[in-house]
Amino acid sequence: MFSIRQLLLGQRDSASVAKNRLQLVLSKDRIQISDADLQSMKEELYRVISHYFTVTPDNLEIEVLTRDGRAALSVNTPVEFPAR
Amino acid sequence: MSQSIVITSGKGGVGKTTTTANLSTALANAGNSVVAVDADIGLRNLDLIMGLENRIVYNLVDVVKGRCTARQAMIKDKRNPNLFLLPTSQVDDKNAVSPEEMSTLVEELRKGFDFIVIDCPAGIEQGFRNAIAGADRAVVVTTPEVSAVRDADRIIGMLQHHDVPSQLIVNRLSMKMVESGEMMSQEDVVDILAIDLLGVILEDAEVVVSGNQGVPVVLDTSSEAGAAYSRICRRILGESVPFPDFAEKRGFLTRLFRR
Repeated sequence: MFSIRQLLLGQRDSASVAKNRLQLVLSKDRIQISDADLQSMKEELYRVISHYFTVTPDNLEIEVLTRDGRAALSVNTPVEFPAR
Repeated sequence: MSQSIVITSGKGGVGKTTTTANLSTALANAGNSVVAVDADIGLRNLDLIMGLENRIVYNLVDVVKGRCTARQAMIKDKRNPNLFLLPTSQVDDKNAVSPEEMSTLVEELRKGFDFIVIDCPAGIEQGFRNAIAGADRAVVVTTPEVSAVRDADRIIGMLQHHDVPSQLIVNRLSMKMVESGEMMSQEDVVDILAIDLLGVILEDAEVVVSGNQGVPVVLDTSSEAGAAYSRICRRILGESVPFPDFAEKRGFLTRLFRR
């Protein structure tokens, strides 16, 4: 359901904002590793990936996606191809 | 001089985290330096309500265990540079930290902040003892429901035992139900609990919306709950703010026909 304000101003209703925020947070919660370990995993992954691509550590997203009772670790980052 | 306030209730789901987020925000907007501490280890939520969930690197348990400094774990609020969040751990449990360690942490935080606002977990076990360990005063949140009031009574007794002075917030009051005699009024609740009333917050759908968005409702002063939290903040700062007559807000005709 969209209100006129949402249609005119392109704002999302707060329920979908909530759902989106929860999905992001839960994908991190489900990894079940500590904040410090997640941070060091991020740093290590960043080091490895940056050997091959130009990446920004802040843009590195790590989450666990679950579907049909199975879980997958997903690492997502924008990359810039190095100039040849 | 720095002050530490624990927000507690006994029963879950009565509004501790919402109250912590809103009072921290209001105190910071009044010009104080504030740190909101999530003491609900294992059930992290204050970050979501404050809209800071994507910025967490370290947490309270990391600080207590010496894995990082308090400065490293604290997250600066998006809007107010005087407001910080010390998030909790999502993977540890309440026994990861002792009351002595929490006391030491609060003492350290006192050096950098005017107010330390601690979000206490539900229950009366170690999580509660941890959360009140470093507190100068307590705010007990209840709703006008029998189970919440009974649990609040138990908590007030335990706070007295630990020499922590406490005040009451009655949350989610519905004037419509009070007027039709189907809900205890704030006076009824205060009568039962025999404790100083700090504030009354009416049932307000805006609280759900603000939670959805991660923007504390106190930033919307046109909302009923936001205005109530501003009044409570001013009372905490020592101002004498009269309690509004909530019934007055109904239209004249409605009141006439209700008689």
